[in-house]
Amino acid sequence: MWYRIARKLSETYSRRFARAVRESYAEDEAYAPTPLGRCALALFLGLLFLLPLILGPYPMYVLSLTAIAALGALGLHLLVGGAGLISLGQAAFLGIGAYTASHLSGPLAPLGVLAGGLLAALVGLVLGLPSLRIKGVYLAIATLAFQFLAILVFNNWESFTGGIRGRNLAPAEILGHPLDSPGALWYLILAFTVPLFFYGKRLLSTRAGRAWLALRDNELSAQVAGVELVPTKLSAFLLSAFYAGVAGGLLANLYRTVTPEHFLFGVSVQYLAMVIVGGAGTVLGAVLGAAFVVLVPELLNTLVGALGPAYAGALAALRNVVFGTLILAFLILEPRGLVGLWSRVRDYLRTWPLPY
Amino acid sequence: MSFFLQLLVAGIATGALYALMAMGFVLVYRATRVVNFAIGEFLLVGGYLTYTLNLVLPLPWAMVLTLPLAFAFGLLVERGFVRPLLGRNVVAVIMATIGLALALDGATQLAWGPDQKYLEGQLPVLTLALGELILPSRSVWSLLLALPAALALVYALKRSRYGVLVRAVAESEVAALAMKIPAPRIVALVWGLSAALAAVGGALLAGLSGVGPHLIAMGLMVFPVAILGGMDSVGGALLAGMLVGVAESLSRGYLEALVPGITEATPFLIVLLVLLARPYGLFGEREIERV
Repeated sequence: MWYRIARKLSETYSRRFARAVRESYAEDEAYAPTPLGRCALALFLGLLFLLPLILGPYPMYVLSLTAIAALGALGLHLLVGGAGLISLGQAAFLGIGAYTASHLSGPLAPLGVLAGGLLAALVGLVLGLPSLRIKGVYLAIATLAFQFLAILVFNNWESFTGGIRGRNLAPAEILGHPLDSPGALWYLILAFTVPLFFYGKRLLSTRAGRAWLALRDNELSAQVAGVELVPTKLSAFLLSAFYAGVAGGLLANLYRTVTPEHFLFGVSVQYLAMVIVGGAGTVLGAVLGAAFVVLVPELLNTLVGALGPAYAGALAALRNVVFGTLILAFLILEPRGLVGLWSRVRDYLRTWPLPY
Repeated sequence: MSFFLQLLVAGIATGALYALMAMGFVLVYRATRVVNFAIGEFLLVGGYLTYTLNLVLPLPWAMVLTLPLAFAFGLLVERGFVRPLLGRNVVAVIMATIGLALALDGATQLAWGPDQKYLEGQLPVLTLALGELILPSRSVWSLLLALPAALALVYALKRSRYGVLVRAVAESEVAALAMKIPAPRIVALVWGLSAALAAVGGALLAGLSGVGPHLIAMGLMVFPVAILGGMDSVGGALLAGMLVGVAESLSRGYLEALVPGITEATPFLIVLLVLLARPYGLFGEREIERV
């Protein structure tokens, strides 16, 4: 009898709280299928809204950077982890978004960010066209070429980009309230990132998302199964560029200045690093990867600051070494990235008091 | 006209160095399907090795001794970072070499500092004057070292026993293993060779104009060259290297005044156009997809 009671308890527990068993499509589709998960999600969103009241301007600034980077990384996730297409030009899309937003700043800021996303998406569509013919490594280098050409344009198209000096923005304004501190701007960032995150989370389990996954795994068998190559590849590029463009627009409003050096090849590499370190193909991975890539330099900064000014010059080099080593370590030791580490911990914890 | 010829010759000389690096890059791609984004850092390591050896040895000896060291470095990279990732998808391998590039980039700066280093001693000045055309010593040295090395490599791949083995492994590793060809050793050899070829460029540049982090930019030019020539054609890389060198030199001479900064972008512009017309480069083999 004790055995039966224990078993019943364990089963109820795992249904209610542990997400181990999913019984309906509605459960499978839900963002958080268990009551506990729903509570956590609501609590998390509430916390996001209250953060500016708790934290000072500098932590909010770093947090804003993380959120924006996570958005850009999510776009790259959809492309790399979803459709299996590699892009070394994410920074260029960020730049397109940022420069567009720099023309529509002040009270028009939300519109500018959106326009930045749309314009980047348009360029992404154009860049996506060759991807129908160019494959694998050749595509990677074609996007690299795009990155360098974009920098050339940013540097030289004076009337749109302000050349090397770049452009300055007035602080964003909503209903007459200037959002001139990172804490205030946080709400503008949330207004864009939260919906886009929910959308991205759902995207990979929709028809379009599954078509991407099929394409990633095997192009030929995807075609046989009825996936149309052209719209699928183009939509992947389009969405990835849109996410990057919005991220760029927000970044412009955060920095309040846009110069070409914010969008160099190294930045594209950083975004790829976020994808790899976070774990390709999941939303959580984008957030974890972005947090990692943003926070590591900040941590190194404090560390180097503690060691003394003699080491300050070596900071950039040190950061490169740490990044490079981490990318290699993750690729060789934990290909699923931080998400892989996290899911192991979660698998252990979610049945924790009654593991069998 | 003589300005044009001057640019042409300078371009061919730079192009010879590009070609040398691109051949190592393409060789690695053929044998292992790995795109080595760290090739610029290989060049840099070659340059710094020469600099370090030069602290105790005269310059020519330092340059010669760099080659076996760079070869060993290539073996090390293959064993440490490439072999564990065998069989993983393209994105993972590309990321791994980018990670390696970042790490090497930072490590060389930590070890040798960010400023330009100049070497003790000098290469003999070999300025040639052919009528109006003046070949600077730099160009003569590039041509003198890079061209024979490149041609020898093409010849060795076609004729020598090891060349045949390398091509066999590139064709099909499984079939090569079945024929009792020691494929892992051949792959390691190819990586070592690639690092050594890049180091020739690095050592030469170090000897001519010093060594500093900016040399990495030179490594980036490998991609347009390799793509233009077709990723799997060593001979194509040789020709494409010259082409890119000349294009770059001409754009520096004629276009830079109109659009500043275009010289760095010209090779990539050409690549984008070529890829649109021929998705497998000028001399690359079209990958046939079997159903």
